[in-house]
Amino acid sequence: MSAESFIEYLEVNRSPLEAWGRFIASRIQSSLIESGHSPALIKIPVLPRVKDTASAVGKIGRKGYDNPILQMTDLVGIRFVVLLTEDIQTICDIISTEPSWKAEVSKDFLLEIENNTKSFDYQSKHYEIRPLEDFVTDDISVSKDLCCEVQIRTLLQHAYAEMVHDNIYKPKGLVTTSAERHVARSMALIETTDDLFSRTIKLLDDANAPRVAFAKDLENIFRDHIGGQYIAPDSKTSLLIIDAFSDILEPGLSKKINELLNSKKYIARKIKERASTKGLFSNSVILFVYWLALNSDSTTLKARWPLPGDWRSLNLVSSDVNC
Amino acid sequence: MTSIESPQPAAFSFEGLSIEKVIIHKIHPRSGSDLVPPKTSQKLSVFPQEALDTLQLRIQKALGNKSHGIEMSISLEDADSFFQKSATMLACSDQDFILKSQSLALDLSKAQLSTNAPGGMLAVIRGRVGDKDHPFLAVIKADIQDGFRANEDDDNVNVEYISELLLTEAQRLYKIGLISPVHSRAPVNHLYSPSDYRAFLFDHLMTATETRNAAAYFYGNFLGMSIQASSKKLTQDFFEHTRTFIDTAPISTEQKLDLHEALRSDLKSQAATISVTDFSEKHLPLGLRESYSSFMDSKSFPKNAVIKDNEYINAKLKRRRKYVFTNGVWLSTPSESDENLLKIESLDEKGTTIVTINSRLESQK
Repeated sequence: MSAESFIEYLEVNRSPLEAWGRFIASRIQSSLIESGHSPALIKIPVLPRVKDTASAVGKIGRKGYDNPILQMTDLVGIRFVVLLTEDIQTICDIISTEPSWKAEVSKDFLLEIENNTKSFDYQSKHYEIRPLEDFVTDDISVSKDLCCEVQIRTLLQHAYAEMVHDNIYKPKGLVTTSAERHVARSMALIETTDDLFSRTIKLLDDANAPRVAFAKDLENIFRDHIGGQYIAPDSKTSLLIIDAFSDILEPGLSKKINELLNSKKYIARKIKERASTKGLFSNSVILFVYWLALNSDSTTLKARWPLPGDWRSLNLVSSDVNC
Repeated sequence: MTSIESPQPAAFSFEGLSIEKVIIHKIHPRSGSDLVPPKTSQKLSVFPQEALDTLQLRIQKALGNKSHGIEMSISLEDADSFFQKSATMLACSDQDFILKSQSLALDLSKAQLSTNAPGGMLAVIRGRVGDKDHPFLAVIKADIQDGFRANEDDDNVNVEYISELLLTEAQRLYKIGLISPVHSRAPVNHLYSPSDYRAFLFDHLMTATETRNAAAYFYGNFLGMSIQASSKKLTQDFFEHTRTFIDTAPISTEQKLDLHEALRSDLKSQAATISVTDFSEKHLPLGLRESYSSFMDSKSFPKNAVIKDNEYINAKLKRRRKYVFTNGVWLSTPSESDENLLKIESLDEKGTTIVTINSRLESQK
């Protein structure tokens, strides 16, 4: 293929390439939310970038491609930057299970680390993604031959890549051996730090697992006995109350609270009556407050009540259970 | 039942109290010695949830657990009595409810004709209470207060004077009577039987002997209630159970002596009612309060207040006996002391006394 016809091809396909990149970005982000993750998992906005013509032609010359349309897999690229190494896997899982495209791993840093145990270099996970069929998105036809390169990396890996890309990989001048040594050392640090970040989050998750599980149980009990339509989630307040009485959490507490709602039918009725007007009564943690009112003495309950702006909810609960 | 007295009724719980209907009438004080008829409403009041919640708080705080509310006996049960009217109102049409509540307003005006009782608002309330959702009928006589309300705009917080304010948290300014059936039975010859009902009263005037007479127009003349015959037994139970609790509590002998003395003096005091909460909050260290209230609970002692009547325990409430010697030495013994505890022999010629105590020395202070 001549350079002229490739340039023409690229100009014609510029907007389909961009549309394909945009399609992948939005599909991954909506799957992320559907699977219960926060959109905040992605730290840098994802924007498709189509290779500019000059740099594409330059690359063809350098690499000696004879069929650049098929061989150049990064004519459009998108990048997901996340905080933790675990988050990379979350996005990979979404990519590999998406039914509307075929995705191939083109670069896997974990595999590379295994193969090069003694060096520290660029880390990122890359996919080449092509549509299964020709299709239309945003009124633009996308051919099944189009390929988008998806890069997934952590913030620290991203920082490394930014540093290396402009200064070492595509240098403006001389790169000394000691400069190379420096970036290798920084990558060693980055790998260590990424690992420490992951472990830190794991430690925090483990420590908080009981209360998170308890909050989840409360929400399920609330849905069963009172109804999902009454819930207005406010996890900050729930956790504040759960933490204030964390010493009372014990295995089996959720079950006891469930039994309480079965034995005292008026509790569900009272919550329903107030759910539309009272913040705390539309929060599933109110079930825990009922349990506390019945099972701990009122002096302790008042002394440790963590919502100085909402004594009324506590008074109403205490009044309901006559304690 | 081991008790010789009538069996103690099961504890009545004010949990799950819900308000279904409310009507409010205005009661006027007498004019000279003439009756001023109440200004009655023709319609039920419609309240938002927050207002119903506040009414619930007032009733439960006044009658429920840890309150000064007391259980009463129903003494007037003729066709015109509060009891018969209110029992009928537990299940009647809205129209009948309104009419009967109006006649209750007139009854209250008449009941206070012989007193200087102030006017106020009479709220008549029907609702449900307890984990079995028993119906109840309550009347609240609320005195009028004045006060302020805060109005906030962007720049300022202003207060506005309100001359007619009622049912604030101040318990001195309202009285409540409440009945609730524990068995539901059809009336015989249009009359319900008081034995199927429990009756409760809250009136701060009832808590002191000096003011109890002033409360009579409300609980006696208007509600047709009287102090329970079981007050003597309940007072005795309170005394005995509390003594057992003190004796078995994990505290020093000295603390036990102090608590026994506190119990004795509370029972001898001018206060007209006793309650687990009052004794607990006045005398018990924090760490013992919960176990005391659950102990009294396990003995089925009421969670609100009871009228104090010391008749059965008068002998036991006597002061400790004190023996004083000329050189300043004195001995103190339980009031019911006899020869089994100690023997005193005087040997006059030497100016000495031999005291034989049938026990070991335990402590010295």
